[in-house]
Amino acid sequence: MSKVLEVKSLKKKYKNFALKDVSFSLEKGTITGFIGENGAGKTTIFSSILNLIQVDAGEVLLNGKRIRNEKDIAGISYLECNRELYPNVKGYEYKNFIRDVYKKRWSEERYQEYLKKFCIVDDYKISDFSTGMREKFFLAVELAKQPELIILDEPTSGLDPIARTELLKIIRNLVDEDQVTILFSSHITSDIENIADNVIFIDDGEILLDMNKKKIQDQYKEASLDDVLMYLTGGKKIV
Amino acid sequence: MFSLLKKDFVFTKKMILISVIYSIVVPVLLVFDTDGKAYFADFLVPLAFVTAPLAKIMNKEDTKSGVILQKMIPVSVPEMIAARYLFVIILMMISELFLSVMKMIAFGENDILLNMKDAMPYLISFIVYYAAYLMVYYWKGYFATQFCIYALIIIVVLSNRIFGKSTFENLLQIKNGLYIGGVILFLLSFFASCVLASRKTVDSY
Repeated sequence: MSKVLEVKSLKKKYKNFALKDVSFSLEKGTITGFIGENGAGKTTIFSSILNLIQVDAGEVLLNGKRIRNEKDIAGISYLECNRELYPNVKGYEYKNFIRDVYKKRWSEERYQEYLKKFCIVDDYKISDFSTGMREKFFLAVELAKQPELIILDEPTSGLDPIARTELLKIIRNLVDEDQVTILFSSHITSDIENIADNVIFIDDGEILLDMNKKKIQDQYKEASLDDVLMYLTGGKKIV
Repeated sequence: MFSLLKKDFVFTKKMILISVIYSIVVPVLLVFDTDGKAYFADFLVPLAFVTAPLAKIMNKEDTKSGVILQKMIPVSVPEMIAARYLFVIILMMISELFLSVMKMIAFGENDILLNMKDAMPYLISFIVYYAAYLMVYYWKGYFATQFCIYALIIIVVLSNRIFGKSTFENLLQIKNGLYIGGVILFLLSFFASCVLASRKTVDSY
């Protein structure tokens, strides 16, 4: 399988936190679950990938090409946690803006297809959507950009159990049916266990685990992901 | 760039409509309230007409999600800034057109071209004001722009005190210098905004 994203030796130092030489790669058509506590560095890594912050060292390659500016990240879609953007604008107005900006990359057909699939009508103000609908609406917009990689930062946070299960199913189907590559962060280990192919565990700015889910199960004797993470952070031993 | 400009107009359409109503009502009210001093309208109409939609869109975009969107769309920073500066200029021109028509109706000043020519010193002063306003926005964010209006009021009051004349008379005296200086300051502000906006990261939010 080809590598869609390669992150090489990322370093970023803040006053009381640092990313320590973070490296990993994502293969095409897979879901990688990114797990870690609040403040572990998940969003900082996403921001580094998207060129939203200046890193101290390291590089990020999308399809083998180094990301340097906004044109290089046109192939990445990012849905941040609790996106709050233009609440008083109607869904289709926001969509029209993104369509106009992305021009040739935009697929109206795909957008309409996803709206139908997600059961959303975009004729409402964004603030009138429920949290789950809003996530799905923004996801439909991001998907219509025909990205090579989708980064979802805690997409299930704030969702009720039914909406959460539904969104996870949608994410899994995107990979199975459309061969999309997804990097998906959460601190709900069951979400990662349910849909991810690979798991990356980050703790205090350092990657402690980067492995295929099946390999984890083999290596850690079918222990739950929670137990594995506890073991890795020195909390408990897997017997 | 034009998609960004279109977005600014579409996303603030309600506010623009309110501004249009305001620019119709204010000159009419001034006829009764100020003994027909039309030049008050030259000050009050463009200030509100431009500030209301501009502040609305800038307020919504001065968030983490807003910065992420601006950084991720495949549009360069100078194009993005140019779209915003163009938005201000177009709003200013629309407000001036409305004002001239309203002055014709409310104050009986029938020559639209003359009305617009008379308002030029004000218009250029506002261009300078908005150049500073936008620069402050890209430097310190939306909250800091709220202090620009206080700075403007202080400058107006001080100039009246120091020169012993009204601001309008003062502006007329430095008309030619004002036109050249206004354009230079506007361009300088544009380049400064480009630098400031490209330095902005999500870390500030």
